[in-house]
Amino acid sequence: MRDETILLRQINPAFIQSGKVTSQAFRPTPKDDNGLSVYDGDMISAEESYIHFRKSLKLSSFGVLGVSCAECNNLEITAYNDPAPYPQHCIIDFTPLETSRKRDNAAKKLRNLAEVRGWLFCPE
Amino acid sequence: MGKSKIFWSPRLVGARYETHSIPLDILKDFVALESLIIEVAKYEFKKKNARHRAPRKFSNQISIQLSGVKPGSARPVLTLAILPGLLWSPVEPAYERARDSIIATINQAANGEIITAIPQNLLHLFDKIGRSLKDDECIEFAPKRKQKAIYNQKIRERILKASSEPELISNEVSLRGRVFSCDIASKVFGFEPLGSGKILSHIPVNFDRQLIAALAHSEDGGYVFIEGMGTYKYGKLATIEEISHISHLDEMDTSIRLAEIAKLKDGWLDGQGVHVDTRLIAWLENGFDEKYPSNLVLPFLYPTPEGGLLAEWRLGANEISLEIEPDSHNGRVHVLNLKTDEDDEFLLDLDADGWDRLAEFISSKVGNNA
Repeated sequence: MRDETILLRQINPAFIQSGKVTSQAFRPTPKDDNGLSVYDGDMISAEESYIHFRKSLKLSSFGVLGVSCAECNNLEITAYNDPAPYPQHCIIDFTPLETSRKRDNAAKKLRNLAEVRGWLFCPE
Repeated sequence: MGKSKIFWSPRLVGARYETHSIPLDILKDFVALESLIIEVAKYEFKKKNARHRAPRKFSNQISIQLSGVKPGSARPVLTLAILPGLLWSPVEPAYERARDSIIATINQAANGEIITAIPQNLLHLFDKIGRSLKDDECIEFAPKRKQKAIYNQKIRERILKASSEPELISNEVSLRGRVFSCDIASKVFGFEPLGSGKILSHIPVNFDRQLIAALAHSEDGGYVFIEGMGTYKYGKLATIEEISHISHLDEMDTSIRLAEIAKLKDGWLDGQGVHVDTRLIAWLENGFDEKYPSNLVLPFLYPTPEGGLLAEWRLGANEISLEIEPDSHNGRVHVLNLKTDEDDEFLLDLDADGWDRLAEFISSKVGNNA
C-alpha cells in the first residue's frame, strides 16, 4: 500500500450521536486482537465498500470514513493487507501501542483526521 | 355567625412540612378530601337513617374550613362550621362518622385487611388525595391515636386497587417523548412517550400553542418534555389529564440518548456488541440527572462493545472520554489535547466522589478549551 492509500472504515450506526462519531470507531476492541478492520481504498471505492459490508457481509454501517496509511504511520501504527476474509480487507495494527492510554490517543487522532477528511460515502 | 368546632387535624410528615407551613399544591388534596368526606357522610346518613337518598342540599348545611396550621411537622386544622342561623344540623354526626370511616379505611389498607369501612364504589375518591405526596412523605390522619392512619403513595394505590373501578389511577408524570398529532378542532393531541405506546389526550386549556410548537419540534426529529398529571389504566399510561409544563429537549439530553442505546440487542456491533444492561443505563441516567451540574455541557454517549458506556466531551482541542465498564460504577477518564499532544488518564469511583471530580474536571476544560 502507498502512503496516500485511504483506508476505509465502516461506521456503526450506534457510534454516532447528533452527527458526531465516537473515537471507539477507530479503536480495536479486545476481541479484535489489536487490529482494526478496514478496506483498501486503492482496491475498492467507499461506496462499493459500503455495499459489500451491508449486502455481502450483512453488517450495519452508517457510512464510510477514512484515514491514510501515512497518517497511521505517523502514529506508530501500520496497516497491512489481510485478504483472508475478502480481497480488499486490511488491518490497522495497534500492537505497538501497549497501553490503553496510547491506544485512546491514537483512536482520537484518527477519528479527528477522518472527520476533517469528511464522509467518503454516506447514503442519502 | 354559626357554630363551629374543630373537626380534624391530620399531620403532614416530610421535609417539605418541617417549617410548619403547608405548600400550596397540597391544598388541592384537602379540596379532594372534602369531596370524599361529603360522599362518605351521605352514605353514613343513609345507612343510619335507613334512607335511599340523602337530603337535598345535604352539604349546604355544613362547610369544612381550613382554620389554621398547628405546629408539629405541619397540622392543618379543619373546622366543621354550621351555617349561620342553625344551632345544630342533623347531618353533623354523619360527618363525624365519615371521618372515622375514612381513618378506618386507611388503617385497613395499611394492615393488609379487606376494606369494608366504606363502600368500594367510593374508594376512587381517594385518587385525588395524596397525588403530590413524595416517596418520603405521608399524612397521618389520626396522629394522636394508636393506629395513626398513615397515608402515603403505597396505601393510596392499595385503596385504589380495592375500588370497584380499580383500573384508573392518576399520578404526577414527567415524560420525554414526541408529540405526533395536535388537532385544535377536536381538542385532541397525540403523544408517544419514550419506550412506551402512543396515547391520545384532550388538549388542556391554554396549551394549544405550546402543543402545536411541540408537534413542529417533534416532526423535525426533536423530543419534548411534559410534566403534569396522567391517568394510568392497569398500570399503563392511558392519557395526560393536565399539563403544567412543556419544553423542547436539548438534542444532547441524556435520557433520550440512553433510551436509544437501551434498544440495542446482543450482536449490535458486527455480530459482537453486547446489549447494555438496563440497570447500568438507569444508574447513569440518574447520575446525570442528580449529580452532574445542570449548567455543565453534556457529553455524547455511546455503547461500548463489551456492554459498557462511553461518554465523550469535545471541548475545543480537548478530547475527553469517560469509559464505564459494564459490571462496575468505576470510570476511566482519558483526555488528549489535539493541539499540544498533552494527555492524561485517571480513575473515578462514581459511587463515591467521582461525579464531583468529573464535574470539576469538565468545568476546568470548559473554561480552558484551547
